[in-house]
Amino acid sequence: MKPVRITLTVNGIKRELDVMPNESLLHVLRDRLHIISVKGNCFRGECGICTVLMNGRPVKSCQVLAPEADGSEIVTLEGLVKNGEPSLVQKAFLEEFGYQCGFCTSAFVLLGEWIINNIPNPTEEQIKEVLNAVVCRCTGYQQIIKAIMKAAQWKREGKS
Amino acid sequence: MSVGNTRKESAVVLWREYFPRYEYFKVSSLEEALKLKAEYGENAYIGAGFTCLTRRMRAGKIFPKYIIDIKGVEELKKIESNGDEIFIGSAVTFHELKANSLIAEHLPALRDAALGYGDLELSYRATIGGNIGNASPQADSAAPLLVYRARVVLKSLSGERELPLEEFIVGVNKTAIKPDEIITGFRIPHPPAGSKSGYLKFKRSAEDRAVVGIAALVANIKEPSQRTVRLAYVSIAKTPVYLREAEEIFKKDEPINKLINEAVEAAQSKYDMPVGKRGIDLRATKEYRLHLIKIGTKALLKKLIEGVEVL
Amino acid sequence: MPDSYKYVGSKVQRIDKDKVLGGAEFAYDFELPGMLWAKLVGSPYPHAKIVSVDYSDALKVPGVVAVFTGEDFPFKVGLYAADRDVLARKKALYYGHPVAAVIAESLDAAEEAATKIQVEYEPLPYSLKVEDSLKPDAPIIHEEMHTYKHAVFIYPKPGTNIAHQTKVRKGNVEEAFSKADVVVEKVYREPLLSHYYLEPWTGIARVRSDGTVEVWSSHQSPFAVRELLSKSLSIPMNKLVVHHLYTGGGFGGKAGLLLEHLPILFSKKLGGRPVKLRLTARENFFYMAQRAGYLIKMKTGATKDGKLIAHWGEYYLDAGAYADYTVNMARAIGLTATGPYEIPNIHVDSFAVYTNKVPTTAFRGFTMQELHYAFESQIDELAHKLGMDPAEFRLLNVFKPGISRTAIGERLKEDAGDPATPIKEVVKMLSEDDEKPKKPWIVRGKGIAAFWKGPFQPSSAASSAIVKVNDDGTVDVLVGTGAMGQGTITALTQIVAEELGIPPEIIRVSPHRSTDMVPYTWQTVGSRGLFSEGMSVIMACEDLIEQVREVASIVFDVNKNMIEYSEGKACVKGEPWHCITLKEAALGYMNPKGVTVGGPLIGRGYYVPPRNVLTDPETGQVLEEGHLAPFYTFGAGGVEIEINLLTGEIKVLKAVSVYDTPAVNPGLAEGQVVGGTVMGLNIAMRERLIYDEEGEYKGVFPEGMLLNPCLTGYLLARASDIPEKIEFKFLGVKQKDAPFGAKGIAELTMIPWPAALANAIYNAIGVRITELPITPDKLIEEIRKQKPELLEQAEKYLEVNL
Ligand SMILES: Cc1cc2nc3c(=O)[nH]c(=O)nc-3n(C[C@H](O)[C@H](O)[C@H](O)COP(=O)(O)OP(=O)(O)OC[C@H]3O[C@@H](n4cnc5c(N)ncnc54)[C@H](O)[C@@H]3O)c2cc1C
Ligand code: FES
Ligand code: FES
Repeated sequence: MKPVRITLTVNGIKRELDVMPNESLLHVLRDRLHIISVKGNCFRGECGICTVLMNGRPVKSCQVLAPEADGSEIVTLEGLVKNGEPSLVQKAFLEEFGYQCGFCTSAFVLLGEWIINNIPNPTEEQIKEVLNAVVCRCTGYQQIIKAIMKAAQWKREGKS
Repeated sequence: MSVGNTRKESAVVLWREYFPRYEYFKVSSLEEALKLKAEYGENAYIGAGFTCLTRRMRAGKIFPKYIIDIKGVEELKKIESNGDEIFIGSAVTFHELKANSLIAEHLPALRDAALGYGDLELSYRATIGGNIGNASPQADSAAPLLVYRARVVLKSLSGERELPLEEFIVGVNKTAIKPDEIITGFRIPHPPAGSKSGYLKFKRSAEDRAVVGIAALVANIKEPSQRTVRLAYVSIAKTPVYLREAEEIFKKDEPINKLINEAVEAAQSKYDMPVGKRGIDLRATKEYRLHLIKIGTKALLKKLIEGVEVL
Repeated sequence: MPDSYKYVGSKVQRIDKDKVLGGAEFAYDFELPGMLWAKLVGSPYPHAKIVSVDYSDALKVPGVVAVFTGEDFPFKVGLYAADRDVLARKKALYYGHPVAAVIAESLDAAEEAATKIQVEYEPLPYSLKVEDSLKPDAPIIHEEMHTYKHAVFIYPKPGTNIAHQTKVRKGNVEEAFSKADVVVEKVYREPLLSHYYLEPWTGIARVRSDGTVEVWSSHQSPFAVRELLSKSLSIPMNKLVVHHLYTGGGFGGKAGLLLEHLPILFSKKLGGRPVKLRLTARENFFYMAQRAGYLIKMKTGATKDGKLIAHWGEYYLDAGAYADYTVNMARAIGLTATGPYEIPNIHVDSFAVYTNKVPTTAFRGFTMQELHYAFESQIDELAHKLGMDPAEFRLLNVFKPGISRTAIGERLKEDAGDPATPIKEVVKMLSEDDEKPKKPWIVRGKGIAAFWKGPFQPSSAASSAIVKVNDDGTVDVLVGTGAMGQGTITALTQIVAEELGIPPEIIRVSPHRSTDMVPYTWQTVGSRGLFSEGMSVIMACEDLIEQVREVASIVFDVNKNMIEYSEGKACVKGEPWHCITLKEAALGYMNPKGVTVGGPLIGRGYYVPPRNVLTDPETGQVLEEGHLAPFYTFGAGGVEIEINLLTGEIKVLKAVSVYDTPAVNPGLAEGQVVGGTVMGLNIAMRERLIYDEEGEYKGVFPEGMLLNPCLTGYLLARASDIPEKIEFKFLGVKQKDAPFGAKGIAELTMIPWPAALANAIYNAIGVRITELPITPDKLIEEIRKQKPELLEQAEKYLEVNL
């Protein structure tokens, strides 16, 4: 097994890395790039807390082989705060108590980002459909849903 | 397990984060993939969405030496019709199945299956080829593909062959694929004009595989001699089940509800998850699955025939 | 909460914002330079002698540093009873029981080597059921039980599989039953459960050259971890530092003896190099303790006029291979056997019983959900038999604070709370809309359950706090409680802000702590965190205020009782120009002549539960007037559901709950209620750990294995699965010696749901379900047994009209 050179753009910064074929994107982000907001739990595609945005779409990074990610653009929680200013979704999570233990939070915030960028006027049902990809054992989801509704509304109103 | 005798065994590695050690190839043409398959045969695993392959590797069920990633092969991502048949490439994702207009128009049961599949994140990656290639008893796409009489297109360097889906899946995680072959896609005859079809999936939570999944296709329902009713099931046996008997049953000139009952009984007799009261996948009891076969078949047919949605 | 408070009672944002903004650190993320990785491997048999372990091939894998087996650590560890091997030694007690550990430079290498360990076993007969474990010829799982060290209030029975028994005897039950007009007797079953917190257990340990052991791990309570490790491994506490980072959920599953001893012992053997052990979810199912299963035999009697007079019970907790907290849970369920009701005649025995399953421990609610499922089902049945309204029947029997005595003879304090009003409120909240379902095969039903709970803790369970003022007038608060998302640190910030009259922004309660840096607190369990920590912090603030007033009285040369403190300053009464601010007094107040009065401001506070007493081993009665817990929270919950008679699926339209206590922060309280409701309902409807108890899967799965250790098998509620409406109320009934009158709620929010659901099903269709979870297949099966005509009627609607 030989290392493979890949190029990744992570939170806007392009990097070249040597990765092993038998690691996942999750390991590349956490262990090589020290992006600790990306968490692992099941390593089976079930819990979703390893979610990152890959080329704009949410994926479970534990199921992406490291070399497979070559050339892709990755966004994680760390990439959402721009010039010290949290994103709308982040602000809404703070206001609506959209988290407790915080272990799943990065995944849900990223799903929130995807929702407000792809569904301009989401219904609660639509939000739930998307959130079904990730489990949260603490919150019971309601305050997460409220937060995403609020962020979507802010976005429609042009708040930044 | 016999008590008293000593035996040597590997200790259990319950799960791992890292995959076993293999060489990874990202191919951009079918040719390339076929060559690798010809060279490495069973040691090389095709991967597309990796939603299953990664699990089997981490569970220590398979130890690939080579992995061939076909996601980048354009010709495997086509969905097209030549007027008689629709071709769906093996690397088409569930997300694409949901969004595609040909599918929505002609193969609504497949669209239903895609809508009910997994979750948003998985649907961006999981492919129809992987769903069938994995040959799970719960494979959602299998039931619609069966009622649409899909044929699996298999290619190797020595040529192409087609197998009806029924013959392709032969057991739990077992298919009739040869070591040098790749599934390139599925050929599906256009369903009869005026036909209605759909897929009904019972789940235990919002993110679940089928407890029972039922696909049906109905055409010319009023005219017994012309009538077409096709039924297929997943998660009731070790392989997806095409209920061939249904074709004959519904040709009889008898009250429709009687025929439906007959078909239900035929379907129930296919139940084949003999181990344990919850079946091999532990999802539900045998009695309950038989119950769902009955309820689901009736509800789905009622919807397709009358347009009345019960479930 | 009255408006007169500025911060307490209002929706102050959580202080752990880094979880949303990035940078929040969990043990999961923690690393040290030169760190090694550990990987465990488990037994393929549920009960087997370990003859030998061959790891020669594993050692050949590049990067592997060592392999350890049970023989390397020839001693037992444990919580209330030292029943646990470090790694299975001589015998493996359950499928997956760790038998060896590989230590390597990378996780990849450790995992690769782990596949190469061979063990020679001699399989033994095993038991997967409490009933089997209790048979006279049962395989004895802990043959050396007589040698185990155990706590004074735990009573193991060597030579059997009984890890503990609790007895409660009060009045004369036989006589009372003979006088009862109605009696309900049933058997209830509840399966083993998984906490499924999202952060799999992780621990990193190193041994410094001076012998100091340091460990960073995912736990609920740093001081409990320290105490257990110190005892188990004989490390003096001043040489043992437990570091607490954020913990990714615990729910009771990270409260007992966890796995810290493993990386510590490995590090010790490897010259002190840091070692990290991080589990995946599947490993967590086997290596960490889960929740016990329950077999509850229960009989309750009442008179015609609706008075509960007799209660008999045998409760069996399926403790798995190691009993950790489960022995104390057997004690809890026994001693609180009658729920929030006064019953004069009681005879209860509760047992923790070993089986060859995964080990078990505490779970959010500490047996109260399990008990209330059985008991509140029984109460509803009694009401129906009596022809009484279930709510009225409950109201006739609930405790009357100040008058009532509990099952163990404890007299409830006057201000113990309000058991009655929540029941009335829940009924009102449920009856608001009475729409009929549109489809005839769908029926609606409503059901309620009342509940109570207090923290079940040792009488000495203390807490303490330190409040320090920094040079610039900002404040640091040191507490020992764990931060796992409950919001305690936010609520404590509010309390300090209120007490000192300063804005929350200038207060910091660090989420991270180390046992050598913060004052002691016993545990973060039992919904006691905010209560005990809150009391300590209030006392610390008072202490601090006294110090500032003292300084001011010296500076202004007036009697101390002339000094008033408010809004961050101490002023002479009626002379608002004569003040000293916290900032000015922070390090001692320097007067214009350069003389410094006082010194750095440090407030100290503590809390020890008043008159917590022990109970008699033979009768379960309190040994003298006193209390089992420093508070009890009372409440009630109710659901409105729709049952689909075709599929057996249940939809929860509305879940309402009412709590007697005030809430310190409505945003946090909502989070607790919604989270607890969703978890509780999911337990009622979906969760169970499956074992092949009947031997049906022999030859298909390894024998004795936990069959569903993953989320495709162990279903958690997803966003679309939550009830349509979740409503709740906090009544604001204050307890005098509680922080701002507020009692704990974290576990309470979980309790009523299985019972309320079972009662709603009964009210809807007359079918009684006595086993959890109530899955669609179970419901259809029970309808078929109890009301088959319902199924036939519903199926008529499926006929096709052509
Ligand atoms: C959390 C979770 C939920 C899921 N839910 C569902 C569900 O609801 N319904 C459902 O049906 N499935 C479900 N699955 C299973 C899985 O996602 C599907 O079977 C998916 O379609 C597999 O596709 P893939 O591209 O990811 O396959 P891969 O993992 O890439 O491959 C799967 C198998 O097929 C073989 N294969 C793939 N492509 C080819 C090809 N072109 N030629 C030959 N062999 C090939 C591979 O070698 C491998 O053995 C779920 C999986 C997860 C992890
Ligand atoms: S870790 Fe659970 S889905 Fe990736
Ligand atoms: S906040 Fe703890 S799992 Fe979601």
